[in-house]
Amino acid sequence: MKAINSILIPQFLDALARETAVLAPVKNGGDVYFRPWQPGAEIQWEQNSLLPPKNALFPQTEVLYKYELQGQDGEIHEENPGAEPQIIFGLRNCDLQSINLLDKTFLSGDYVDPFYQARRKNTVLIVFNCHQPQLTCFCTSLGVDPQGGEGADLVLYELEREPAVKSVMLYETGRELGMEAKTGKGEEILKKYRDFFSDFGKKPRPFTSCTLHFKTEGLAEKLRKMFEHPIWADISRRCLACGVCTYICPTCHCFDIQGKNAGDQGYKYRCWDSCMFSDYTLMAGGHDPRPTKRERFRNRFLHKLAYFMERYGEFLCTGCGRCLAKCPANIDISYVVKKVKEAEINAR
Amino acid sequence: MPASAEKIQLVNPLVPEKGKIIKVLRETPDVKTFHVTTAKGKPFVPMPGQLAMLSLFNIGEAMFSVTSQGERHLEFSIKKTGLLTDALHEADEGQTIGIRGPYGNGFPLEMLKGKDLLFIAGGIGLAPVRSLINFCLDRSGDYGRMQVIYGARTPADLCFKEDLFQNWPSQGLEVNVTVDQGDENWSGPVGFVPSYLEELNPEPEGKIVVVCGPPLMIKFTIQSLDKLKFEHKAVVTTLEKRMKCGIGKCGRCNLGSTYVCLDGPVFTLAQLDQMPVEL
Amino acid sequence: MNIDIGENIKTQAQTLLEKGEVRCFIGFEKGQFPFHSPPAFIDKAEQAGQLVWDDFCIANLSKYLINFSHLEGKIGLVVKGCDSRGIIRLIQDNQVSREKLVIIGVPCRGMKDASRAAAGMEEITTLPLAEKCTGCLYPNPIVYDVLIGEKVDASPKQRFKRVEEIEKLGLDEKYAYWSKEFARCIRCYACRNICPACNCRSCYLDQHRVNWNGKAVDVAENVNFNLTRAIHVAGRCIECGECERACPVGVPIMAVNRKIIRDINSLFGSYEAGVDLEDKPPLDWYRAEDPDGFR
Repeated sequence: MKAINSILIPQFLDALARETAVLAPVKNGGDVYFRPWQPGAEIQWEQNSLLPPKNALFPQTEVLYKYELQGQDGEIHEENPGAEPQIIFGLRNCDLQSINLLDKTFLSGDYVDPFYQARRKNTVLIVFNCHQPQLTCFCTSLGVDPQGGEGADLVLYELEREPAVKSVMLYETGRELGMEAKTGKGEEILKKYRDFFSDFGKKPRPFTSCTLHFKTEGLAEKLRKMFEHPIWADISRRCLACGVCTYICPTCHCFDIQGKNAGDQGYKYRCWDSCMFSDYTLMAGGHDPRPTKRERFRNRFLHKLAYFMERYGEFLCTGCGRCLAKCPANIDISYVVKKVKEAEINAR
Repeated sequence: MPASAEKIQLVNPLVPEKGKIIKVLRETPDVKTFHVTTAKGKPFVPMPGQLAMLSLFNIGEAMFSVTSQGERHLEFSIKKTGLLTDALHEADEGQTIGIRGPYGNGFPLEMLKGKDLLFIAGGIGLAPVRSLINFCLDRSGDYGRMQVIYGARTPADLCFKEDLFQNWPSQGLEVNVTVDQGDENWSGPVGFVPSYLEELNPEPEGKIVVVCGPPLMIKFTIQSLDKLKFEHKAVVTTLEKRMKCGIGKCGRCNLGSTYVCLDGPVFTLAQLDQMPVEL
Repeated sequence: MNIDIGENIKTQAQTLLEKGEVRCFIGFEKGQFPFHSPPAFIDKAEQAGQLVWDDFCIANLSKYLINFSHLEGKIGLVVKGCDSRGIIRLIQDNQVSREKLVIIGVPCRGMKDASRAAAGMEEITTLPLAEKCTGCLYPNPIVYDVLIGEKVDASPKQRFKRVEEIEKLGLDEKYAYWSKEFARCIRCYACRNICPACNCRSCYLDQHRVNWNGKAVDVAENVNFNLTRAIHVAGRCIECGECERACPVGVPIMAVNRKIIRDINSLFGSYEAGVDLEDKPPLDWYRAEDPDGFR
């Protein structure tokens, strides 16, 4: 087992960043964002990032191809999906699981997304295990182990019997953090930067427990019978039909394809889209199979809690709690689950 | 530790191939048929009922069913209904166009084999069904009796008139055409497709029905089929949705966990009965 | 005090629903956390007990009225000062009619900043006033049928403080400042959807045309979106601050809105949106004696 002193983390990241782009959770105003690591930046250990690191693998906007027009004629120039290597440092297990879920969408089936695949292959994930949840966390309800590290290349964790301290102290006093390689890529980093690491025998500090908790047994099955249930009209009344929940969600992955044109040339780009938007399913000619926020809201939560489960065997939610913290109308997935569980199924 | 980007050789399924419109035919006041080819000839070989994404680069992209194909081209019959289709209707022969596909499952050919076939279509809904009708006519030995019931708003709005009144009848297809509103030259039946269907009163025994048309027409046609005692597993329809990717990833065309672009667009009513349907 | 107000609201709602005077009553209820008091929609008198009044009833309920525009019968709702200005906004924009509303007004001492509690940064008892409440000019409801509680004095602090700070910057500094702030925008349109002044049936942002303000997130598109949104509500912004509260990435949207308010006041004379039903927004009409004529 390897360990690294917290004092050395910035230097370790400096060393990594000299060779590869490193994204790390740093303070930006009062919030935490994944930003390219720069010497002198301060790691935020306590809080999860405001936005998930999804953008690093599935950017909010990316060009698919460019084109040129000459009268009736035209040419297409495909964009190369080649991605530069990157290291995402300090992501939490909820966001790690969300990457596993994005993998299912973008890398499985007959069609593989080459942009996502190129980025994914060139990305090293260094996860920081959680030892204490935030108020809004509920990952354990969705089967995510906050110390699982499944899919990570390297796992960083606090050690047992060390007193829990706040982030600044963690830096100032210096404390040992465990580090474990999960893949060959992780091993390579431990080997290449071995000067930063010492051998250490202590166990990881266990996770306390989420204050927010619910059982998910039978949830997908119950929801399957609730498509026409009045609950959707009822809960969605509060919803503003904005895209906050979808855009801050680590697992939401719906996209749109749009274009930009300047004279005789232009490009087509792919960008995030939100199922809550009124144009999402609107067809040419004006027909909309989901005409009101009731249908849009229903689809969003059924996608997360039932449809994705049917298609890929997992919930499309990792319990990161960002929607709890950020929905301006205080609607969140745990509230919806609560309402679903309370609902009487016969009330069709 | 990746020192440099790993090279990944892939074709991006979201990027179209460059094609050309080589022929434009006017079917009705608001429907035109476009023949599309690429440098390598036919863009791909679609099965009946499959789809393709067509794009005008500086306008947009949308999903269309392939209505027919030739040796070196595909045919799309397109109604003028929005930004892209308005622009397509302005396009002349020689226009460069983006094309990608084929997408979707197409019609269940195995299920149709040996059966009598009843094709019911309304308006531009005949476009996807036509690909199947021509496919079956080419292999008429594999199928039993074939019949078409087709309706449009007015006689002028009838698509594929040559097929309806010449080609298909001459190949032994029974064609029944109705219009919502006749004109001075129209001597055929007048009325909506569902009531005309009930009037014709086809026998469900040994028959598969293929229905396509606007959502309301499909809805009422299904009610009529129920009255005529057709089983839902013997009724096939093809659906339309707003689509962006065509490959089951962008999200919007789902019916429950099913993606219409990938798992559809063709479903039996029995399948749809099991799904949360938003049409 | 709050408990009394809460009980009073419950009674009002219960009576209105029992007598059939309103079809639905919009108020606040307790959410997942002590620092959440989200909007509640009460259809039956026996559900009125869910209603609460506390330091977290921050949402502007007026915006929800546009969802009831086709409802036959009346709607009851609780309003703070800012919410009541939202109602005037919607009436002036012909989105709702006064006759269809039963308004329960509550003077407001300002709501607390729940976002700090949600982030675990602060205990619920020590939470500061929400940013949107710090510049409040109208804590007392302007239109109401029933007023619950005693009127409070307005003590606006720093209404134009941020505007003044930014105005002091040079041109390049301003550009850099706003580019940086707008670069964070993720285009979720929460600011639009929560705004009582954003009540177009079909928003320009939901149109699809190449080169229209598309969904691409880059500084140019983001600046275009943010400024267009601000200009669309110019002269009609009631300063409820909901846009900035709803923004998940903390874009200082009210600084833009207040800059426009200040400019309108200096160009067209003093005007407060959503305060007087009869007084038309200055950008809605032209009069010959306008201080700033056509040039």
